Amino acid sequence: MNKYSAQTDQSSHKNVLYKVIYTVICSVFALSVLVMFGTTTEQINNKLPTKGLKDQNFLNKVNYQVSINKPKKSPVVVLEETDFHGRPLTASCTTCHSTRQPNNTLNDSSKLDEFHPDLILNHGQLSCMSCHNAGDYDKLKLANGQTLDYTNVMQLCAQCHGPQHRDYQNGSHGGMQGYWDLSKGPRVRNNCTDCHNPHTPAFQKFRPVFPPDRDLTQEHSFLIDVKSKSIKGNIVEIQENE
Amino acid sequence: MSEESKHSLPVINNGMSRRTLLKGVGATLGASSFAIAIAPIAQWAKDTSVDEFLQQHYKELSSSDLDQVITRLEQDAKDKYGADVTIRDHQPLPDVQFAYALNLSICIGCRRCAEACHQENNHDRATSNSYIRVLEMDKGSLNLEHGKVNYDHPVPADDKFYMPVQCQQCENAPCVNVCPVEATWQEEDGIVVVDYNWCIGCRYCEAACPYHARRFNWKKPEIPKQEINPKQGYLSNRIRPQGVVEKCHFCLHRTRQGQLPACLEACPTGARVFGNVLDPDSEIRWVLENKRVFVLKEELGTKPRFFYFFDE
Repeated sequence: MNKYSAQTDQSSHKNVLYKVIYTVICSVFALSVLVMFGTTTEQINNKLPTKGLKDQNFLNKVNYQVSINKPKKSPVVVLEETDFHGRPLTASCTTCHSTRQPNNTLNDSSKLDEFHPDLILNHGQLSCMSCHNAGDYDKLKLANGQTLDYTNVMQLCAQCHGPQHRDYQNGSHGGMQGYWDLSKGPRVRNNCTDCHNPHTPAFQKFRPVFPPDRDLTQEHSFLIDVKSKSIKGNIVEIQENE
Repeated sequence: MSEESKHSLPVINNGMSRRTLLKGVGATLGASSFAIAIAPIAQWAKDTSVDEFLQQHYKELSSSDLDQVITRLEQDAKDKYGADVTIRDHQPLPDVQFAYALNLSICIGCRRCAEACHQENNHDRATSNSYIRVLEMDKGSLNLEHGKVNYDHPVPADDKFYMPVQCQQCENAPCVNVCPVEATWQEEDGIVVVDYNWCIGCRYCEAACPYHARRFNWKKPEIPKQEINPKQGYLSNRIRPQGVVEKCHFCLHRTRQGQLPACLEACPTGARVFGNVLDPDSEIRWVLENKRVFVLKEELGTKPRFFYFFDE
């Protein structure tokens, strides 16, 4: 009996020792996992609120306006003479035109012998007096004869270009800068004459500004050429383009 | 008889058996091949700090972790490029779903949008990288694969129309689905973003994208100090590391602050329309309701947020 009980005592002591060691190892492991992945409760708590720009009712607040670039009040002709400071002198339209008879049928500047010989009019069937105001050359004229300031030129254009005017009013024609969200900042929009020359309104052709990075057709032809033609030449081309 | 006479051949070393010798050779070969195998890691470690290596996924960063990461990235920009930059973590705005529309009738193919993207988003100068490709297409065709990118003649050419293509911010984005490490995902406002520090550069997403919208940084981007755009976002235009994929993010560092994207501001014709589709008075909403809009490769079921239309 004694012999056996002594043995069981010894083995139970051993068991306790193993349990203690096991627990210590486990807790050390668990602690190191916690430290490594950093998910202590403190960090979880301060995880959510600080990031971000919280502004709940932004849709309701419209604090800023959409403004449209306006052209100069009325255009001037730059003269060859200069003033005392060396600045070129300018003359308003009425300076000359107030003493001249308007030519209501003129629609070609090449028929002019003194002024505006370089002006190219290529705007549908319009003649000069369709838009310019014979009564006051520093103003424009609507189709119904009403006088219109140069600053409101868009109203003149809109008489004929209805669809473009509609698209413009709904923000899908004409360049703009600034904010889509008017609660955060203003927006500035071009007017018709910022982009279109009123005498030759069609967009003039010009060279594109920026070299492209990769050509899809070349990549495509590369895939085809692997089977048939020279591979080397195409690889060189692609590397150049990338 | 002496020892020698017992063996037909002289014994060199009795202490080492053939087995031990083979073990030694095997261990040496194994160790050296292991060293060679991990050599690229040692090389790579030169450019990567321990902090960068141990950095968590963006979504798992606590705000204090993120602050540390951002401070480190700003310091990196100072050390590597000499530029003082500010990196912010712009969050999606509540009640905002972004969408983009493009009027193909008035796009003239001037590539100003691509140029603006190049400058705004700190792209590598040598490769003239940009998130936008302007395709020159034959009138009457909508085959993207036949779009010409490197046209170099006065635009707009007769019989052609121009179609700028960038990330379509798909609802069902193939690029997000294929990413093996979840380094790319769609945010609440619809923008598909990339955690450049989590991306492993496998380029699965680049292959999966039907719109060719993703770009890979083959080299460290090189940008002159004075040309670096200092207003940067963590998920957008901060200078990307080498070996990761990037893409258009609707200029989220601008748009999440209410500004228009850089490509839209650069557009001289106003072909581009951007806004919040949840706002019934927005321009984008008017276009979607009143124009005959379409999306590219609709049959793939990607559900893009980028719409195209022609004027009637």
